[in-house]
Amino acid sequence: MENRQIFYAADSSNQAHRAIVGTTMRISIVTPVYNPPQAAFEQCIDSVLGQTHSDWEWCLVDDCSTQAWVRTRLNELQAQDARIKVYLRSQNGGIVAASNDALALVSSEFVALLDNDDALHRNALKEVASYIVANPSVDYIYTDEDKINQDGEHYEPFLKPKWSPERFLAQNYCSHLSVIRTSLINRVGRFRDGFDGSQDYDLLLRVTEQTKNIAHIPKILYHWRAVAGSTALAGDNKLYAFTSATRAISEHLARRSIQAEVGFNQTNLMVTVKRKLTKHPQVSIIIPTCGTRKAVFGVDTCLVVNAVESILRKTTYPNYEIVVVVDKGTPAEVYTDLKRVGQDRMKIVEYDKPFNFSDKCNLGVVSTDAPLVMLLNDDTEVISPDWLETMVGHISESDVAMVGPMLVFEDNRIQSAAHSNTPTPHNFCRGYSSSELGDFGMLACARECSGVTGACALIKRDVYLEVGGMSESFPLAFNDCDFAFKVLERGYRIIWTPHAKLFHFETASRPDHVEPKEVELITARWGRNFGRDEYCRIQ
Amino acid sequence: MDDNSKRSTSLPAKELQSELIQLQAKLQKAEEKIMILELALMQSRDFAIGSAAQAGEAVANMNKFLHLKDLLKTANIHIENHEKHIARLEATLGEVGRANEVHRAKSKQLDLVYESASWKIGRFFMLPIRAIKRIAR
Repeated sequence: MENRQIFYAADSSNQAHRAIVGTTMRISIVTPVYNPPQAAFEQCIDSVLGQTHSDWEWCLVDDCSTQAWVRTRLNELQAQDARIKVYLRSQNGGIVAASNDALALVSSEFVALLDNDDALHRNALKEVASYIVANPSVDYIYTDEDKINQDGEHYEPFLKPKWSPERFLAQNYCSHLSVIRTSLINRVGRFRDGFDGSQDYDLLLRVTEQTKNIAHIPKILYHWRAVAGSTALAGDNKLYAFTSATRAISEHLARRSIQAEVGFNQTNLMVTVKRKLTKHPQVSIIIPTCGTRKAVFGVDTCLVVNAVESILRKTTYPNYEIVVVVDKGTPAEVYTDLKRVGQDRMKIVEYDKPFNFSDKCNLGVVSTDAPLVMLLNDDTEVISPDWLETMVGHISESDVAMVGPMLVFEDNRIQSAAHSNTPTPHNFCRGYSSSELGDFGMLACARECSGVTGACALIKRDVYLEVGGMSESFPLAFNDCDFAFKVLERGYRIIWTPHAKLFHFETASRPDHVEPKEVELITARWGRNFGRDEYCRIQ
Repeated sequence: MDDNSKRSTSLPAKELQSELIQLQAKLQKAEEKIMILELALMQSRDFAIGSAAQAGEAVANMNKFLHLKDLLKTANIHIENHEKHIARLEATLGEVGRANEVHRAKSKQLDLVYESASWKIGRFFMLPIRAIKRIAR
């Protein structure tokens, strides 16, 4: 409970707030009303009337509720406070029509969306108004949220990532509280018919297509009511909403000229997007090795030969080559086996310096001129035949520089599901079952992250060269973390996907200890980013 | 004629082939050079980016240090104020203690007066007057 508190907006002096915001930052709250649970609606009203920021208007539209008390209460509210605007529809038109009618009442520059049974944190509008005043170009703001049950108890705080367009394709994680510039809502055509249940998702998709000025306030400012039959309580209560969501995503991708298969996974209630590749740029799979042997599934195996063999046997992507960077002194039979297995796709580069993983990767990269390089450890084995198609699909976006897959141990537990820098860089969810969904579906959807393991990472060659490759100052560990920090600093996105899966028989091919020198150096370079991973705020 | 034609086509072919081999060797050398240059370029870039990151980290640490120093300064002022306040409280407490002692001594004196025979005799003689006063009230 105490931990959760820290993410709520702290009360600050109202006088100070007025000094910052002035009195002109009006926000319009838009609420379509239809037979809400009375107690919940009263709490919703209290939460608006109790806002510490007083410059708001509330546009309520009753969609012809069948419960008589609703209209009476709305009329009372309108009479009670001049900031409240009420419109009573003469016939039921559905949530889209009611929401659009409410939007028609809006007279301010920004619109906040509030459902009739949810509640705002008392500082919600104050936080949003302060943010807008400090960042006047912002067009869309979303905040963290939690849920409240019928007893008013708060639970499931959702500490959201910073703007993550890829994750947004799998789930409407922004949802509540959303505050959008009114002119932008009008420009994109407000809510659309035919998307009932996901009308807000559809709206946000169209809004985010039009602007890059998207901000996240990392504070819980919205309380989503979990009542019987609501999506907050169980996602599958409104399956029709997911059908609408799938259609909204398909149309969104079509508008962005992205060819993809869009599906809906009923097990984890997530939209799945699989990009169709129109081009197959060459991928150079770079495998540094010294020909180590290890028991894999109980059988003594030469790791690199096993990795290469699995690539050739399983991969369906047509255009790739394999560059194996081999330490001098590697047994001759490894060369023979590699040549036998790899045939015309294989290129062997000799490395004759003391072990330095980064240096070996760099040598592999300069040995090829393929536009995409895949760094792959020799202690891996391909599971998903379409692993390259999936990863190439993500990297085809212009601002994506690096893509990583789900890596699992022999027993299918997760070895790496991207990196998290909170509290310090580590493999996220290591040791978890790979069939888990993770917090808010983090393990089930492709998403932006702060880094992926160098054990398997697809990287644009241009970006690899631009950031100076893997730093030779990190011969053993943290080279991938350092690389990711360099990539992120240049404004690129890094994507992790669970839809490409490989085994990683970790530490089989290198010492498993961490050099204190490397810890010191990574801290000296990027220590300020530790403990504040904006894509993964779960500890 | 045949011999001549053979000579004329085979000679340039041989020359071309050797030229091609030479060019291939040159190309290989050029490619190796490019590789070395690319590696050197990456090293330089990594050094520059890494140094900039370290400088950024140093600045962040320095800011943190300055902030902490500022906090320490404020804390020291607070401590000093608290110490002065404690001294003032202690002085007041001493005064109160002394006042208490005086009060106790006076109370003792008063108790002695109340206990004395002269006080009791006086009260006995004043009893009717006190009664009249009470009735009058």
